[in-house]
Amino acid sequence: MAELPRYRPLGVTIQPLPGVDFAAAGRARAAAFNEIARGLDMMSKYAYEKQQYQAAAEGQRYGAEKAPTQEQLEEAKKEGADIAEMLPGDDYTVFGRAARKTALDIIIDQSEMEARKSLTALRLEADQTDMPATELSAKINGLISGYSSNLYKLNPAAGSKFQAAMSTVGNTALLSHSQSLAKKAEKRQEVVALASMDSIINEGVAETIKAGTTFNQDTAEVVTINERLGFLREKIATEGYYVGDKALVKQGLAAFDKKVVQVKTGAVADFVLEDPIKNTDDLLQGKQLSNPHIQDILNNMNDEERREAVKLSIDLADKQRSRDAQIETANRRKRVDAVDDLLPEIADAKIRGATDRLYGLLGRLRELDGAKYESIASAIHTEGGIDDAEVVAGLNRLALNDQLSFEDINTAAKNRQISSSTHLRLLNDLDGQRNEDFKFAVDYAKDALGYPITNKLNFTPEEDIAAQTVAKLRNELRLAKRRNPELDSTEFMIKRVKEIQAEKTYTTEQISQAGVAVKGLAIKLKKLGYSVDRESDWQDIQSALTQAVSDQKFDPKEADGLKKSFTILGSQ
Amino acid sequence: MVSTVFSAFMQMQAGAAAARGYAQQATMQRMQAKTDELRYREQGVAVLDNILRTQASITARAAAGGIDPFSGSAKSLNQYAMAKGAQELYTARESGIIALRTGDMRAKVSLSQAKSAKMVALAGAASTIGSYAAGQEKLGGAA
Repeated sequence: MAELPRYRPLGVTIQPLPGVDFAAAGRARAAAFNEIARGLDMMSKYAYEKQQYQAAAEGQRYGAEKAPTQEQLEEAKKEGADIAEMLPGDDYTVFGRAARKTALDIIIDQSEMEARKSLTALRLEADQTDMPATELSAKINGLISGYSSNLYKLNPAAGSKFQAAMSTVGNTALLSHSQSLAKKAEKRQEVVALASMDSIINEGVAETIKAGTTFNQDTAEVVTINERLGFLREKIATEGYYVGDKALVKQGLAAFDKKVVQVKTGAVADFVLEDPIKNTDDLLQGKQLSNPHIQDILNNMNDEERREAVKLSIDLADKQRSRDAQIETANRRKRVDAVDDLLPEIADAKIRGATDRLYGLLGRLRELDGAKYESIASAIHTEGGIDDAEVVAGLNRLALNDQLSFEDINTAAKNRQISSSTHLRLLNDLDGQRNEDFKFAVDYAKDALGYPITNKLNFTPEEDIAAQTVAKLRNELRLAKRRNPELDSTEFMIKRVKEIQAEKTYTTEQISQAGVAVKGLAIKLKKLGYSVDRESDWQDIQSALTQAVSDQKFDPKEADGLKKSFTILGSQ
Repeated sequence: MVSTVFSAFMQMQAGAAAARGYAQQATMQRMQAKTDELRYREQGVAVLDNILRTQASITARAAAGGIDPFSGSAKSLNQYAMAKGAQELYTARESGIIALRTGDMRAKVSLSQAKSAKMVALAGAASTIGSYAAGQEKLGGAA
């Protein structure tokens, strides 16, 4: 049998679906969105941080503006209000926290400032009133508590912190005050000790030595000066050691010892000066002194003190003698000065014929200098003699040279070498010599008329003429002054000199020679550094010449030789 | 403010994207389950074919050998082939059902993940907006 066809399957089969991860794709997309969201979050975070800073800054401003003052806090406290509510801001927001913190900081700062100010004032008051440390401590604590209690109500932590900080300041102030009190007490002790030492040294020593050796009323024992001084010395040491200053003790003891020596030797020296010769002898020879108290002091002196006392006594005696001699010299000098002052007055009285005044002055002269009185009275009472030409010329020359003296005139008068009229004239000259205005006028005449500035024994004929003219003008001036005491001497003299010069006539040649000489002089003076030249006026050249002679740059004799040239030019 | 809102929007977008992915994944898982079920059905058909082929071969060989194919050991062999085949057929059918159910469960899990992703995104966005609002509140200001 033939085999029947049979269905053969094609092998069609269902294939497994490939795995597709849609979730991963979704996650990837979500990650992208998340990434964007994260970026945006960062932006938001940045913006938020900025907002936080802004809020904090605004909060700080707000807190600073709204912070209550100490007065407001005190007022609220008095009214029983809760001062914590006065703090601006809150504890939950950035703005609030910043505002509250700032306000609190300001209150703390203000409180600290106020507290410090109050502490300083308290410290000053304590210092000025020497307030006891315990009282100051109580006041400081009260002050700090007052301020910190306010702060504690506002913020307990800030209150505690403030109290701790201010307590340190308060303790420092208290410590400083305590130290100051201790120093003051120390100083007071030192002052008391110093005063006591000073009293012992400056009073106790002298009193003890002055009291001398005494008896103890209780024991009837003799207490010598040195024993009592020893007691005082110990007291100085005690005072010094009480202060605790070794240097002070050393210094006090040294001053004490010095004072003891000084008082002892001083007492002995005073005694010696009562009778220097006898007492010095007694002291040097070790004899019993006439004063028992001084002898007592001497008995209480050691060898060194005795030597010092003897030395001081001798020195003082020497000094006293020297001082006496100095006083005598001074008195003598005073007498001489008084006589010198009296002589012009005597001359004046003589000139004016004031007899009563003259005798009064002579009486005073006799008291001051008997010898001088004899000489002058003799000269005044001697009748006038006959003018001795040579003597009168010599006296005239002295008068012209401002060298005339009272003695010169007296000698000539006593020797009757001058007449009464010459005597009076010379006294007038002497008076004029003392008168500055008169002297200046005469000097002008001398200069203008060619009177030599150097002392010469022999004058040239021209100089003789000049001397005579000057003498003549002097007499004229003196007479004019007698007529009119208010007369201007210099003006008078200038006028008279010009008149005299005008009377003189010089030849053209003399004038020309004088001009050449003066111009030559100008060149010389210019070389010496004076500001004149050939073109300068003769008056300027004359002034420069006077200056050069004064400066010792120009020979005075040569200057005298040129005077005539100036006289000639001055007459033109 | 703008960046915060935009950030919240982006977070929601991210959630939506993830949810879409999970939803697609769920659809895909269902399709895979159906495919697996079909394959098990195919196995069932193959098992039936195998039973028929085995019984035909037993009948044919028994007839050829002069044995009554519907009695005796031939019948027993036929019944044994039927039993074994039925056992395999039912196993294939059950496997198909399991595959379908497993796919359905997976799809449901994915859908649940999608929902969660959406919820998370929404919560994140809300948190962002809320944080912003809280931050603004926290900044404070003069009363």
